[in-house]
Amino acid sequence: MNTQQLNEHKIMAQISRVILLRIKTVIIQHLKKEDIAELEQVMKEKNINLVLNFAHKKIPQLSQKIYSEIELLAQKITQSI
Amino acid sequence: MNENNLSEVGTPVDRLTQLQHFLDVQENLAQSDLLGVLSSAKIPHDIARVYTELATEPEVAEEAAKFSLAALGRGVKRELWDSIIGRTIVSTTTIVTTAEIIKKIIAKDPVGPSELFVTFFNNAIGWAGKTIEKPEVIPVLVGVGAAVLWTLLPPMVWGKVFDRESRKTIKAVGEEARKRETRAGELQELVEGRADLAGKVGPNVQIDVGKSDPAAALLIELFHHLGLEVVTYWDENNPLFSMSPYWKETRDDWTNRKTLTEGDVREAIGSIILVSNGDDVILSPEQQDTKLHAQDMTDNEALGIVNARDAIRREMGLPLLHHFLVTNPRGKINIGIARIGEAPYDAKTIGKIIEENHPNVHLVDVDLLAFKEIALIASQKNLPIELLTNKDRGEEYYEALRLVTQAHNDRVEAGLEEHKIKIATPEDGKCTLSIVYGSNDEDTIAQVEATASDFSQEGDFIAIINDPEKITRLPVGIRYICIGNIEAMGVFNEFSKLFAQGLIRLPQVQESS
Repeated sequence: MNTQQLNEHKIMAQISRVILLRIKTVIIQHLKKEDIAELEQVMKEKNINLVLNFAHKKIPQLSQKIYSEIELLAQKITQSI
Repeated sequence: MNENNLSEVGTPVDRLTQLQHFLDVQENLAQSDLLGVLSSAKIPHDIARVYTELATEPEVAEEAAKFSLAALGRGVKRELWDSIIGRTIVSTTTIVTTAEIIKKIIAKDPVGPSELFVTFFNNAIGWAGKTIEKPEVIPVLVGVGAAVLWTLLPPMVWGKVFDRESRKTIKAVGEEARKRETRAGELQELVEGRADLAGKVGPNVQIDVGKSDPAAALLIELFHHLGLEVVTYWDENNPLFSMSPYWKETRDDWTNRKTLTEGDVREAIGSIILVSNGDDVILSPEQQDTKLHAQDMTDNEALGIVNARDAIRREMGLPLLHHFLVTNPRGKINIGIARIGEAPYDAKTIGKIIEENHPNVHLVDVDLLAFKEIALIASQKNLPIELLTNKDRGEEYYEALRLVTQAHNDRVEAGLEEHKIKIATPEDGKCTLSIVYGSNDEDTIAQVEATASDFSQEGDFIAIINDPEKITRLPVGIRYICIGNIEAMGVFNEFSKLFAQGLIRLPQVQESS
């Protein structure tokens, strides 16, 4: 990889980490209280796919909510440069 | 923490460092927000710790970062293609996602990154739900999320971030182009379809277009969505140069070895051959008109292309390509036999020839794909169909209509399709599904204008338009079927099926360090 590719790669890695954290936050934020106990059961498997499936079923329009987070982050990056 | 302060920190020259600092802060904020919501939700500490650490393994981040896409649509890159699970996700979700995109294109509703992401996310999660052992789902989703974010940034952001290197590159390219006439010559060759592209394009799909084909633009777009380049072959000029600058001018010589080799057939992963009888994309006659002024590409030429590409690949020691041949398989190869008395041979159809001799050729029968749609529409009111077309071609089209209807109904009887089609008889009167398909799109539009109000009173009425570009020229409110879109989708689905089966693979390329 040349320097530019390396830099792009590093930035994408960092953006990916932020997005993963945001996805996790959105899930907890939008789960209802009664769903939390169920989530704790799902968590015992320590499998992110199960968590995603669980959240997908419990939170209406989860994908749109995650997209909004991504859009917000993009706006912040644009403003920061 | 005030993140905005960071934009004032450091020198403006080092935008890259500034961005990295900004992202460091965002990461810390995101971490802090997550811990905050976990605490507010009163999730036990040990569970919260597991949740925080889920999917944070370095390899997950590494996988996600590979999605350095210039745009979501253009970017499912080879890292994803090369992973088995990623391949399955892409080939499964792409079909669904692409279908959604096409629906939107038909509806003239632009597809935004939001819609793409939501569709991709939902499809991927839906797919992942089938079993739990799919560790690559999260890096794919996170990576696609990062790619979507990339598309949301104005180009100037990246221009600023990589300013110094970009400027150096632009300057170097610019100076070289100005100083060296040969460079200018190469560019001119590219524009004119004479450039030697061998080894320069990368994994690509070859599309033989001819003079024009209504599916070409959408096909190029769909393959670009998968991050694949497309090399097109045209008779004389390439009106889609701005979409896909890799092209070869054939001058009707489709099997020319030099043309195919220079078209980078070495790195090709599939070839698509679009046969059409002049303007007739469907309902072409059993016997093709082989006069070149009326014919974009004949079945004879298509067979020649298949053989020529196969021969070149064999010489190079490479596996044969899978070819996707878009044609009417009921068309017959025109043969005259010079002997006394009747010849004991029957003319073979192109479908039969492909079946017998070419296992690596996959037929895409656009007539049947279109008539599947027509059958569905006709079945809604249980109407027989009639074809409105140019007066001088009515008889010729009727025969083609009869053959394709028969072929469709045979498939219904075999349980492969639903809804039989009936061709209207005098007893049906005006209670029919009138299908307008003229010799070309202009004729179709004029015929729609002339007949819509009369023919739609008792039955139903639909126009068949070849070129997606011409849809907007139809009178408002007229229902239509677009053959170009059906054709492109048919080819793309066949390609996706082979890809999902592992029959089409990207060549292994050593990444330069």
